[in-house]
Amino acid sequence: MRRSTTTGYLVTGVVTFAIAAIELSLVYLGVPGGKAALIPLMAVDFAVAALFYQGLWHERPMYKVIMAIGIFFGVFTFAGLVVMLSLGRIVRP
Amino acid sequence: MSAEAVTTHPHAHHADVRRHLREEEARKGVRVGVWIFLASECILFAALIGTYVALAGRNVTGPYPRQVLDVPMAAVATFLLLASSLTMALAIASGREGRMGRSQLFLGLTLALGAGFLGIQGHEYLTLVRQGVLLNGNLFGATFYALTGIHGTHVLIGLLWLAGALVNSWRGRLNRRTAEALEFLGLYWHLVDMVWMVIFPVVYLMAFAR
Amino acid sequence: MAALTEIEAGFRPLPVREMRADQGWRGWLTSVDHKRIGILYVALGLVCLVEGGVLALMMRTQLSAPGNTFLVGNAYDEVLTMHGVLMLFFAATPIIWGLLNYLLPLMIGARDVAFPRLNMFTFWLTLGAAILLNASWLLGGAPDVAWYAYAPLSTVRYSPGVGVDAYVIALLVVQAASSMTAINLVVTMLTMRTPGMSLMRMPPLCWFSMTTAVLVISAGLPFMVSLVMLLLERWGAAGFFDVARGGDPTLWLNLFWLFGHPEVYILALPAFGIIAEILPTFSGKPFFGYGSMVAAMAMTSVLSWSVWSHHFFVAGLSAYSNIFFSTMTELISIPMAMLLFNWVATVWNGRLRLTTPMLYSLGAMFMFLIGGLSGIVNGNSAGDRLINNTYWIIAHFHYVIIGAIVPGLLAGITFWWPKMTGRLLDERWGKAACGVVLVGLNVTFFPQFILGLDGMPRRIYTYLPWQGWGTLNMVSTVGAFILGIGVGIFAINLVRSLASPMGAPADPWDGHSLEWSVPSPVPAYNFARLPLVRAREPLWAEKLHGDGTMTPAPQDLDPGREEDLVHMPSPSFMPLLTAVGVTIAGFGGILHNLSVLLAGAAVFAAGVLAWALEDAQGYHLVVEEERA
Repeated sequence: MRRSTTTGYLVTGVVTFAIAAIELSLVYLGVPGGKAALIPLMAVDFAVAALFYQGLWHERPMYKVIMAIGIFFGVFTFAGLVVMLSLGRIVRP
Repeated sequence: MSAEAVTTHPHAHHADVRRHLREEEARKGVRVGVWIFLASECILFAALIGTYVALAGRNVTGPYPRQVLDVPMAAVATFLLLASSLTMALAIASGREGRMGRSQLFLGLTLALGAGFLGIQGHEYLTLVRQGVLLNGNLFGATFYALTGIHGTHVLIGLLWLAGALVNSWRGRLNRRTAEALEFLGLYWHLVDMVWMVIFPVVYLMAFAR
Repeated sequence: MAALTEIEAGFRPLPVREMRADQGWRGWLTSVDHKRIGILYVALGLVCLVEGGVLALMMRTQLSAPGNTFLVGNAYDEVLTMHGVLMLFFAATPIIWGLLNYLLPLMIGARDVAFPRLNMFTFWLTLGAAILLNASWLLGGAPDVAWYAYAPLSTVRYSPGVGVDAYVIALLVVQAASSMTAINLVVTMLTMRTPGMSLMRMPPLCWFSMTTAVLVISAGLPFMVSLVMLLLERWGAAGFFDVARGGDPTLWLNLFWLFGHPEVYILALPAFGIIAEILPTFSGKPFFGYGSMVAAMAMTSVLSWSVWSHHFFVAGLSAYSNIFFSTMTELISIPMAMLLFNWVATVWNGRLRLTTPMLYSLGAMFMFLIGGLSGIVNGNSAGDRLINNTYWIIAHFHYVIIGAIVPGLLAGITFWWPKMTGRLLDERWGKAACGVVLVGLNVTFFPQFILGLDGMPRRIYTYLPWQGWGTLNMVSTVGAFILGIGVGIFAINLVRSLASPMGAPADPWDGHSLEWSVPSPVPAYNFARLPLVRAREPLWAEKLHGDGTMTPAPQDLDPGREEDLVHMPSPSFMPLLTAVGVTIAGFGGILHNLSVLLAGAAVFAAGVLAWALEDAQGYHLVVEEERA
């Protein structure tokens, strides 16, 4: 199992910080279109935070399959809920 | 069927030695189990975040998120949690390299940072309650407390686990072999952090962004 | 040598024990043996099957004639709800977990599951949940909101009593237990296969179980989320489902059925896996299309997540979503059809032996066909508009459940009974039970298809004479009693067998998988020497090309064995203690009594702590080398 260097973790930490800071600025500077930009930024930050797992990249593929299945069903659930609950809105009296 | 004890057996010693040589085998099963558990946590939080997003903006009465959410404070909490992920990764790396003292230090830092995160969240809850955001209040109250509360519970469990690991290390039980068991805690902790990287923008930032 | 010394210096030697006779009830309470746990699960499942069946007979009696007053109003609703919940979660699921617990380690050549104490814990949790749920009868009324407990009917405003609280807590507990079992089985199958047993050489039941476990773990979570939200609503007045506060009842609908549809596959797949073991054995041919079966399993698991809305086509959400889900629902018939073709092709041109398990399996194939074909009507939103909420739906799912799933489970119990108990079941009683059950099924539920088309709604406790439904309902009720008699005959067969002496051979059916290579009943350590697997259908390969017994795996590939010592897990009291804590806490929740809740939590915490700290290293068991 290849060991990740301290540098690797530090870089990951710094990048996640940076992206979070960018997200914050978007909100606080009131940049127009900030909402739309937030989503891809969030996805990137999530992926970068996943790099904290970088020490495990050379582990068995089984673990990646398991995680992929979990993320797959997670996305399904999230998308399903958001889409389905936007349909047929009950009209408030 | 059950078994009764015998005092000695010619092969017992050899069996013990060989078994200890193969402890790696047993840990493999735990490893797979931990990964499956983490994968299932993804689905759990997907359902909770999905519910939050689906019901966002449907409040009939206030208080509304824009009015009551304290983004700076939440941002500090976020940075604390991010930092704790970093210190956790460093703790495990140190442990694998055999540098137990450093590992202990980083574990302690992780605990402190994580406790800081929870402390801020607790303070935030108190503030929100005073402002009228209640579980039995409007939709924002219900979904906010459900989502962040369940995440917070996960952080708390992680902290208890961390405390246990720290106690173990003080009692001198931390060595190169048991440091590998610490990795499971690391896997869990990183996931809890990653989930927050989604919760923070979705709950706090989306409410304000234009 | 240095490494050896380091290890020798650092470890504690394990105790060595010899086998001795049963230790009675204490043994059952503390044993972590997957076989014991399997038997306990099956026993619990059979008891709840009878309870659920009695409830069904009560409903059928009420509905046998118009204007009947045997069981009316809320009481009927309680019986309806409990019938569903008990059958799905406390009868079918435990029988499934029981059989899988018993068989899977044997089938892959392992000595136990990956986490034996966790395994025990899940059984006691399930029992505790069953007690919690049934306690509601006595504590103020069972839940009366149907097994899917739609919000807002199930919210505290419309269902203020104990019933729905019991429902929520019991189902949270049992679903958590199921998830733990599922993780246990997956890890076992992925990491503890005997040398030579590759993933593609596992018996078909293992693949069906793997898929089931994936569905349980993944789909169980939206369910538990919805249950927690309902609990927060009932106890904390949270507004998730409250329209006045902007909440949405369709939140429950979606979260529940996100789980609810995979749930039916969770029940069906193990039963189909059992049939996939029985058909090859009694046709004398290997399972046809192993690769396509694995593909069908993968397709089913993905597709079952994409059809949930078909349970509420008529909720008036959107034509576009209905189109999407109709398409996906029709598509999911493809892997099921692949499976059916595999079954048929397995039997085709085989040397059939029409034993009891085989008859159940053949019958199940036909009943599944009927149930599945009827599903094509309700699986698209146009057809569903016609027959939704009518008895057509009830007939459809009962054909699949009692037509395919229950026969699969009964066949499984019959098939593996000799292995589990060391006794054979009587073939004549077995065939009688099979015939009566299949006849009873058809007499009960075929009229319900017609009733559904004729417009009889479901979830009603009576109807009027002029609606013309009386005759068919009476026929259906007669069928239900026939079904009950069939189950009774099955039960009598079990009891008669248990009263007879042991003496079943290790391999009464000429089986193809590893469990038939060990004695009946199976000794505590399963395999004295882990077998070396040289083909799919390992035992048949040895019978054809070897001497009919399994070659032992090389010594150094058997991590649990040294000379004649086998490493066994220690029995433990902690899983039971922890589960008792959960049950007490559950009662505290149902009774809204904080002190009881906290007492339960304290016992739970103590149990968990003791569990974590106890010496779980196991012991070495002296086994006699098996002589041919």
